[in-house]
Amino acid sequence: MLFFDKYVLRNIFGDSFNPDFEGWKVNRFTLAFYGEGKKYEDDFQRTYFKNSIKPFRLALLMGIVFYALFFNLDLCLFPESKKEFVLIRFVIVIPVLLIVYLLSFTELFKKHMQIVASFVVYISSLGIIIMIYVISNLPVQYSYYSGIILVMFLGYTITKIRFVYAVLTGLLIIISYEIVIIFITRSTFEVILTSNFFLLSANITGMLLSYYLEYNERWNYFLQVQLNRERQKVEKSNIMLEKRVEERARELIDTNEQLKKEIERRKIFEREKSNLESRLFQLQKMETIGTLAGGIAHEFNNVLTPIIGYGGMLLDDLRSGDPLREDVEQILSAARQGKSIVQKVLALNSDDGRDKEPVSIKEIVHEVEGLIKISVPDNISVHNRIKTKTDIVLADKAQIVQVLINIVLNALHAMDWVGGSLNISLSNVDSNDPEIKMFSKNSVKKYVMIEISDTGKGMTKEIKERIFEPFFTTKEVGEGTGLGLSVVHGIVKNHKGFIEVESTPGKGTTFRVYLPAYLDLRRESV
Amino acid sequence: MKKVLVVDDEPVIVKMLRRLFEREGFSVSTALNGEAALELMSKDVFNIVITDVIMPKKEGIELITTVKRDFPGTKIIAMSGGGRLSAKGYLRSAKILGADKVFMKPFDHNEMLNAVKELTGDF
Repeated sequence: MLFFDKYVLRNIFGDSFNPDFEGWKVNRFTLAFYGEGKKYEDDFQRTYFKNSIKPFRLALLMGIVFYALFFNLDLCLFPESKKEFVLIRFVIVIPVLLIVYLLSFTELFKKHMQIVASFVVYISSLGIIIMIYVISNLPVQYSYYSGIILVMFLGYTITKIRFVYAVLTGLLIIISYEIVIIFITRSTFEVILTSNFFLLSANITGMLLSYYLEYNERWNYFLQVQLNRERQKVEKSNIMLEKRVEERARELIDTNEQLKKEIERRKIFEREKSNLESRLFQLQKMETIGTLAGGIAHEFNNVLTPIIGYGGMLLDDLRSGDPLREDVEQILSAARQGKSIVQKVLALNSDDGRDKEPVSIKEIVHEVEGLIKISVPDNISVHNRIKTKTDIVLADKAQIVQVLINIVLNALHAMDWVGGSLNISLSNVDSNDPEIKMFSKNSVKKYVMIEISDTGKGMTKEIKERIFEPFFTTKEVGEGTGLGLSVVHGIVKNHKGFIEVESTPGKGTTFRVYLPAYLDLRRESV
Repeated sequence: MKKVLVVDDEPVIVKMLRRLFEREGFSVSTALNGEAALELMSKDVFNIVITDVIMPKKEGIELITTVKRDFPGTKIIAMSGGGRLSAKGYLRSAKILGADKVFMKPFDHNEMLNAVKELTGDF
């Protein structure tokens, strides 16, 4: 066996023989798959049949044609045996081949092709052997045995009989031939020797050819199977890869989306934070300015006291009609004006002890509206929108009127008295409202918010930050003292409220005054 | 002659009040803070004390309380030009603690004079 492998198979098949390939196991004689490869056998048989059926039919047709054509040789050489040849060729062999040709189209043929094909090859050879017998009584021996070689040639190749069947068939043909020429026709030694030489070597060559063909067919089949399997594996991993890529992509998209949201949230937070910080800073600044203003007022009052005191005494001492009286009166008048300014500044900062009582902001708004409508030019429209549940505030009514008038005057000034619209609205805001939470006082539950907005020229951030500072003004010298809005701030603060300002240059300004709502406890409990 | 004690940390105001009251025949003593005022009061009897509320060394509020307690016969006038709180706020406290009259600086000299005369019964 080793010898066979080493010197025959290796040389024929080269490196492809018995390769170190997992699952490649074929029987050296039958060529059938065995062991791990056994699972391939059935499928291989089916595939082999599919690939064989057409060459097989071709072989049959060639057989029929040759069998018919060679009849001419018979007629030429042995016209006297015409009957026998007609019988063998046209009554037995050709009809058998034809029938098999027809049968090859049936379903049953699939199962028995190898047996039937072997039979066909044998019958064709037997026809020739019988013809050899028929012509054996003639004086001249003709080498009709070469016909058997032709049949063998077809049988071992395009008939596609598998190696095992082909070998057995070949053996059977040789045996039949030997029986006829040795025992029946009793041919001469020379004839037996010659024909056997050629027949046997043709048979051996055919066997080798058949072996080679089937082996290759199996090897190709096996490679195809492996290839398919690998391809499937690749496809499968491709699909898995695609799936994973898709998953990763989706994850990335999700993460990206979350990141974007987070950034957005951060931005909003940052904006709110800086907004709150600047408002808080504003508040602290006003507090500081208030304290400072208080200190300055104190100093000022100390300075004004002797001026007014001495001035008064001097006036008492001057005789009526003294020209100096006029001068002293001027001094006193200026000092009193100074006193009134100081008192305004002081109002920024202090609870001046005036009595507060529950007042209706709604009524105050109507009152202020009535006052301003007289002086507002026609091209400025005034609207109000009131949507409060409670508009009662514990307040000094005159001061609240002053607050509203000061803000409204500011708004009219911002619109240059030429045109636009002035809106006053009233609503309630809960002290927990995030917008105002940091400014609202613990004791306050609800605020009454007075919103006054104009469509005037607005203010820059820098101006907005300073509008409540005493003596800060954007008006021309002599147009205003710069105390209007700081007085507003002071009054609102005295009422435990606060003010917010929103302004866009070129668009307008909105003031929001928050005053603690006065909740009537008796009414609340109902 | 009625005796008046003027207390203020501003010398110019003290001087002005001294002139105002002396012109009208009062005997005027002055102090620049609450501590100095009490020292003067321990040596002499005053009909009236006119004091500022915010001063270094013993605030006016403290002085008022002490005078009210130790010299019940002495009248008190508090005056203030304001400070961290408003003048009104300080003066309200002063009034609660026993000041007979309060004045916001700057005041009318005649009103101050009339108040002193009224409180000392010197008409």
